[in-house]
Amino acid sequence: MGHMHEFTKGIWKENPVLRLMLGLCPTLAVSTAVDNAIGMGIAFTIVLLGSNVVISLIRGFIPKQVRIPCFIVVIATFVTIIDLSMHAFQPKLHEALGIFVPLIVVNCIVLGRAEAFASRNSVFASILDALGMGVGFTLALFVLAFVRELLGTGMVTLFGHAIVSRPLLQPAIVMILPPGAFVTLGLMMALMNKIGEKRT
Amino acid sequence: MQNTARLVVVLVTICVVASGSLAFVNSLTAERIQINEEKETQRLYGEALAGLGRTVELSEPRQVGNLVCYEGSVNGEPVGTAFIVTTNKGYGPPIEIIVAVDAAGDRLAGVRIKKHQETPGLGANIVKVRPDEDEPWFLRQFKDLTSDRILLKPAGEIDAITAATISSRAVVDAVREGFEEFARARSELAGAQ
Repeated sequence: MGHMHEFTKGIWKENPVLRLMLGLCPTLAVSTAVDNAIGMGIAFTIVLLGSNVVISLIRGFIPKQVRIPCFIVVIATFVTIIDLSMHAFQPKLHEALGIFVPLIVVNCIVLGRAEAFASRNSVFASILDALGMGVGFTLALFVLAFVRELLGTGMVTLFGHAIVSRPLLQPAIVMILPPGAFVTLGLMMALMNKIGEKRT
Repeated sequence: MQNTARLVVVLVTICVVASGSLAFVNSLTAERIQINEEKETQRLYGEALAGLGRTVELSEPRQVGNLVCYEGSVNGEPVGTAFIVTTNKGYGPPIEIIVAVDAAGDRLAGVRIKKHQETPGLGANIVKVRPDEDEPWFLRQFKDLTSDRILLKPAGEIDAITAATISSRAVVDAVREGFEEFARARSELAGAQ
């Protein structure tokens, strides 16, 4: 149980987007299409994993007063290294995920997990935490993007394959614009709170 | 006091290690990134000039007016001229667009985006490929247009991207202006000879 909890908490109980309300800016921006949601989710998980491991490794070495600048330097370095390596050795992947990488630097979930978790826990626990948060973030983005793409364009495509190919309803363009993101996200949060209420 | 010194030492150490590792990774990857980008640019030139899946030979670059032009040929047959234009009217850093004009010089052979950072899901749809298709639908609309038709509908022939009119217009305007500049420079060149 003990260790498993570090993984599962990110998916539901402490879901970064829907519970901790972190990283809302990139969430709202890239959830216009399912492709983008998955791309962002994967890139984000890789970065969070790396940053959590590094921060956890050097946690004994960082004085409290300067921990935030230290975390930011570590995260920014890590993001840039991943970006450069991907660009050089996996150009196809970089083409697909490249536009999301700069967005991750400003994603406060990474900094939030460094501060709240990785700087206080072992490397192993931090890995589980990063994976759980990554899955939770990706799932939240996926659901949000699925709803928005379905209602906003009438169809859903995943990596060039149509999942829902015939428009079920008249597409409502507002759904792929910012208001659609806020409305959908708000409804998702309300739903999570409702379900959470019943459980306790 | 001693404590303050420690803070400075730790932060400086971390920054030095970070810059060191960045410099190291950069030195490992810079060359490959450049090679990859050049390969990608060559491919895009080919696609713009002759469509998908055809091998296009590119000439040495040639200056036409302010444009650096490449002549393309397939099996020795000239297929047109391609050049790069940039626009800063999009939503991000400048968009770099490859414009290819056919061999006669009066119609577009094709358009490709070399580099852009438009908003994912909105402006980035200038390069979106629809399911079961093999090239971006927005860019395909430019093929075979004469310069006076390169305008958004209803004035011209191009359908703008839903919710991304700014990015659509930036590309359309840049292509039209590039084409006009190319035509002007070419006729001046022909007049001078």
